[in-house]
Amino acid sequence: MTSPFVAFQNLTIEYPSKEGPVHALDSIDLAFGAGDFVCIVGPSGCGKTTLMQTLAGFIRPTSGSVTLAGEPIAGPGPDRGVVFQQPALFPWMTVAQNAGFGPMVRGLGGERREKVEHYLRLVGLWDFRNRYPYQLSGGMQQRLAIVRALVNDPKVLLMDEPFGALDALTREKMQEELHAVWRRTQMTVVFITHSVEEAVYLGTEVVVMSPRPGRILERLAVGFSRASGARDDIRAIKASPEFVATRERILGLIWAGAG
Amino acid sequence: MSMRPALGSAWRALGERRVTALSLLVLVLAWIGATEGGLVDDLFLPGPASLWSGFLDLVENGYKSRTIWEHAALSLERVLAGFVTGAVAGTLVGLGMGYNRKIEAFFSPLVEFFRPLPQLAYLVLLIVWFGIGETPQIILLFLTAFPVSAIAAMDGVKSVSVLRMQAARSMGASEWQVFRYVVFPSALHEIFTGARLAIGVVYATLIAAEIIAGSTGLGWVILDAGRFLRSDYVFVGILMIGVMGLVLDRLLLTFEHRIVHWAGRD
Repeated sequence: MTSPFVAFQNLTIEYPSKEGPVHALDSIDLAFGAGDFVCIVGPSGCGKTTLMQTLAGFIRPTSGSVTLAGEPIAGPGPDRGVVFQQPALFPWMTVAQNAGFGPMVRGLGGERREKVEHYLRLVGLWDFRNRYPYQLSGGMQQRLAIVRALVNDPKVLLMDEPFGALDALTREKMQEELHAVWRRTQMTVVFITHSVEEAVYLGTEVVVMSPRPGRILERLAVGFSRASGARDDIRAIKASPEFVATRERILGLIWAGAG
Repeated sequence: MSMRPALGSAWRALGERRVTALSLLVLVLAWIGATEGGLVDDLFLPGPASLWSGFLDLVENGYKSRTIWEHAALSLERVLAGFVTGAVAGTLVGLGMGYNRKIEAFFSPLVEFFRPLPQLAYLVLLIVWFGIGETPQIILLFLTAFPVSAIAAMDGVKSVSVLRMQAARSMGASEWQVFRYVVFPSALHEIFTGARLAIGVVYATLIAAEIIAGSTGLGWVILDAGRFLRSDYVFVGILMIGVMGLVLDRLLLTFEHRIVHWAGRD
């Protein structure tokens, strides 16, 4: 067996607080391959975000390890693109400057210009390149946040409830677009969400976590995102008996875990 | 509430302007009424005519060997010298204090001590050290602007969004680049707010400083004219100081809107 692309090994995270140490994650063992779309679901406070932030390099493991392509994570870096629930764009920069931030700080501005244009066109923001983020709608802002991660050619895209703040219609459109990008690039994605439906629709793997201290309750391979080529009927997929059965099964696991 | 876009907002803006105009009109009418009607003596409140002739007198003959514009320019130079040096130094130190706990620990006793201290309390000491003249006044104004700007910049840095810093780091930004492209622009709005506060206190302090330590400047003109009971000169001086202060504040506000265009819209 080849070594996994992303691996959490016996990962435990504790951090101090006024009420004593908080045990956020407990002995997480999780590995997945390149090209997987891994969705992590679980109740609030189960450590989903902590798990993602450890892979992003914002948090250091208390014990255990996290590796990407065999290399331990030493801190944040452009090989892991990060998208938060809030777009967290830079309002003092134009859309194009936001999109080109990564190449700019790495001194690759010139070489990556075509890439910036390519992704901005892909998500329909090219005509808005000279605007400022506050002149965009919430959905457009989040598209820009995804673009600025993608232009760095990350090995893995980390998304922490990226569509959580969007309205239902925009959310489904964004799911479609993200799915299209993933199919085209075959990029590895770690996707945290509160929406089980979103997880089942987008993921190749769904990981269910327990309340704090976060443990992995179950891991399921799901096939809805790989199976269909032209996904012109998102509603039909989400309403199909197989989809509903999988969704209900995962919801059952979360309810049981929440005790 | 119904939305009446262009016309409605134009009317509302006009309405407020009219209210402002009305307030000025009431003030001026009360002034004319009180002075022309003989209710108050010219010594306590000069009327429009004597104020105007006092102004022309000051413009034509100056005040004590200098033109009134020279006095105004000297005051403005001191304000700008003290404000610019104090605000720049204070902002730099404040940026450091907000970014690094050790820098904050180092500078906070100084900043915390100077901020609430009435400036005139140590002006005497500055005169003892540097004599009467420009130096103690500008040092005084520097020390006035410094803590105000430092605290504003520090607060600005401390309120920077953690997510934005994480986003920048995850795109490969170095610590310096995070500071340059994320922390500093985030703090700009508060830096400008601090600058406007600073120029306000600097301006107030300047007039007091000129009264004590000078023989030039609008503050000194007011004090000296008061000694000779020239209320018309005193009022002209006050009006000039007021207008200059208003212009300085509006200039800063214009710069702020131009530079920090995203403030309040983000």
